Amino acid sequence: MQEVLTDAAAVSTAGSFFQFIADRWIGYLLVALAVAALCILRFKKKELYQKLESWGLIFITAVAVFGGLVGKFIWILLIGLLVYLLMRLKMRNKEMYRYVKQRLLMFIPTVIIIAFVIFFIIQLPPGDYVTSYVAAMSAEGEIFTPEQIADLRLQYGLDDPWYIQFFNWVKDIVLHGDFGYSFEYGRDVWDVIMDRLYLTLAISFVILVFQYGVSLPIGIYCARHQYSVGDYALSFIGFIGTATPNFLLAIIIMYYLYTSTGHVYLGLFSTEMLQNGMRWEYVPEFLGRCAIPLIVIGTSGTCGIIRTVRAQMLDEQARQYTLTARAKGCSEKTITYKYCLRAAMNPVVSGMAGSLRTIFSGSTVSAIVMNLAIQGPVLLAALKAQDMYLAGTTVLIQAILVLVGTLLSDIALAWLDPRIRFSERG
Amino acid sequence: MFKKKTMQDESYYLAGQWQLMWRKLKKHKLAKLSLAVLAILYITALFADFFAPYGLEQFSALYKNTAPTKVYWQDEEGKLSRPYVYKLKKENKMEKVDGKISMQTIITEDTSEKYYIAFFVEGIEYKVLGIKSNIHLYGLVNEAGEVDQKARINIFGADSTGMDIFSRILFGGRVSLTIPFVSAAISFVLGILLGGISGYFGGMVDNVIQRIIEVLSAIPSIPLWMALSAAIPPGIPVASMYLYITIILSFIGWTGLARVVRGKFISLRKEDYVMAAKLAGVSDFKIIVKHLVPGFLSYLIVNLTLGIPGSILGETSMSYLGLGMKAPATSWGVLLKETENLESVAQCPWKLIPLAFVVITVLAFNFLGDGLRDAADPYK
Repeated sequence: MQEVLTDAAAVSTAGSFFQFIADRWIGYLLVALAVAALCILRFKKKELYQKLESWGLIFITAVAVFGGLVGKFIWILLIGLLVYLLMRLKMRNKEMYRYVKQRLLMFIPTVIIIAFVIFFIIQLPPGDYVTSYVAAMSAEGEIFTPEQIADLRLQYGLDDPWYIQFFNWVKDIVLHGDFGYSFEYGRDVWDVIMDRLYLTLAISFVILVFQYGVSLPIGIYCARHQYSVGDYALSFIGFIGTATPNFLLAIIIMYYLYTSTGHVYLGLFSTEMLQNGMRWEYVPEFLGRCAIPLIVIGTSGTCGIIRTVRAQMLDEQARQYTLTARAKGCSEKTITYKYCLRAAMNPVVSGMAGSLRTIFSGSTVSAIVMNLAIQGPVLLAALKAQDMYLAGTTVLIQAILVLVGTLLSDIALAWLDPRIRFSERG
Repeated sequence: MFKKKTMQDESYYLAGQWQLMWRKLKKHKLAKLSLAVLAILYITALFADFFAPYGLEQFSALYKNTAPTKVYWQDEEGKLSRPYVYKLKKENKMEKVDGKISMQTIITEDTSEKYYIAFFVEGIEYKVLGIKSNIHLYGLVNEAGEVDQKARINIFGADSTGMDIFSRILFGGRVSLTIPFVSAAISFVLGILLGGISGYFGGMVDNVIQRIIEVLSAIPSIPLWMALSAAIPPGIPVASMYLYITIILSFIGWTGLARVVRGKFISLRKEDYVMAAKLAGVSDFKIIVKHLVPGFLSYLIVNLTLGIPGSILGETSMSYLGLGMKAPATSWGVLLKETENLESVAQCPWKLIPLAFVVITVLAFNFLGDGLRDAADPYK
């Protein structure tokens, strides 16, 4: 009953899928042109610029995400975009500018500390890659002499103390962009990671959007209709996904699909897709297959958000200013969305980076069950085999993404609640 | 709202804060139900020895992976009878497949003898809360009315070692229902304390705590679990393993709360009433505990009751990855590890029953949290 799905095939299909939507050179060119055009307009024709500005930014971001993603130049582009946004902020809102600048300056040291902690954590379990390699090979009957083992250690550079290894690792990253060598795969760590990075990012991002898209409206509804049937029913639906452990929900859904359709939906790509590559006619089935992990991993976080939104909204609805607004004759819509929701968003927004981290961890366990070609299972295998550079880099990338998420949610918070940026200023 | 209060009798005004909360909690129907469910779960876990028909050492190879025991209500003539079960027996069956004879062992019911279900029967001895006893809530007796251990009643089926899943669920509840409680409490205290200090004092302290939180909360939990559980020495007794896992879970859990508490403190510390307290010479600690924390108690309650189910689920995930409690020990995570792939679910669907307990517990904590939040809301 199991479809044969090789990992490598799934990975290459994922690669071709993204190749399919991305043409990096054209994308790069388009973004550069758009930025240049906007810059010229900004100084020459201010009125036209103001009209075009928001659309231009959306266009640039869209092309940068979909068009330039594959190219290495994306970093230059993103930094350029960041500088541009900062300059714009400096002109418009001095306070926000100072706050954002301060947070950005703290970013690099935090990343270095995180890298250090990660490396420390990963080498913490006893033994190293050679130990687990020798153990695995001995199980198959191969015998190693102590000299051979020592040679292997020397070859992999594992006989240095861990902080020297850490120093060398960071040095290579900074100087050569070299993230080390994966012992398990026998390839550069960066190549191994790039195989799955886009799919991982795409899945995580879609799940995040799904989580908030589903739970915000439910939370608001439940707060406005407290103790109604809808409140109980919607909360229950929102809670049930969280209450079931991810991997079991995946198994149950697959079991249900298997008994009702006779197919086993393992992985995102069917056998035909793997054999023939990605084609337009496969898109509906592909989307259908995407829905399973989306539901499984996505529902794991809905409960927390629903409850937080509901609780915050209930708090805000009882405040004096809501009463004032109602007395003034504001419509219920205005009261809910313009007053209460904005005030209620504080804990929701600051929890966003945490959701991203939960998605990374949650997707690991489900990805093993569902055979998804994302980074989680590779990370788990690397951690178990003590393939430290691969594990370290994967965790570092995920941590940096969470960090960026934290940064963005902090900026969003400062924008929502002026008290925060005043306090940061001292 | 004000009108409603005046309508009520005078006892409303005489009631203390906790009495008021209790009254409001009762309004949330699902919360009331959840409280009852949780009480039952905790009581059955505490007195698991009594409620479970079998102890953790009583397994039977014959009953390996068998479906829930069939209980009959009618005797052979179709008349209503005292509920009884049959014991299982092994049968070797010869089968001719393509001219070859193959032997197959099948397990069927041995209908020669009836075993009746009885209450308060004697079984394995146990000691709970200092009371020594050997009485179990239910069990099987043979036709002579004597306790017989040859037949077994597994109302939720048996696992891969031939142990009664129902008994294991009850014993597992001892671990799975208390680890989360303790670890959520630890991370709750840590979160409020560190988040509070960070938000209230600001400046350098704030910066240091913020960086620690950022670093800890940026690292995905699986490497943290793996590293920390690798630090658990192998072969330690179950009790200390339990302690280690509690600490691991709470060590990871506090950062999210601390961030939120900090954000709330920053927005609350500029309020006039805090200034007034400061001018009146109230100590910083007292301002935090007495003036600031009650200001967002409802959020804290939501977070705490969300933290407990979070840890329950964390424990199952850890067990699934082979990092948590391991086989001789029993927890819900260990039980669910038997359903780790599609085949095992397809063959033994009853092994999903422990899942129902996990789901019910998590839901109950969530609804109770909702009810408590409403109860702690001073504006209602």
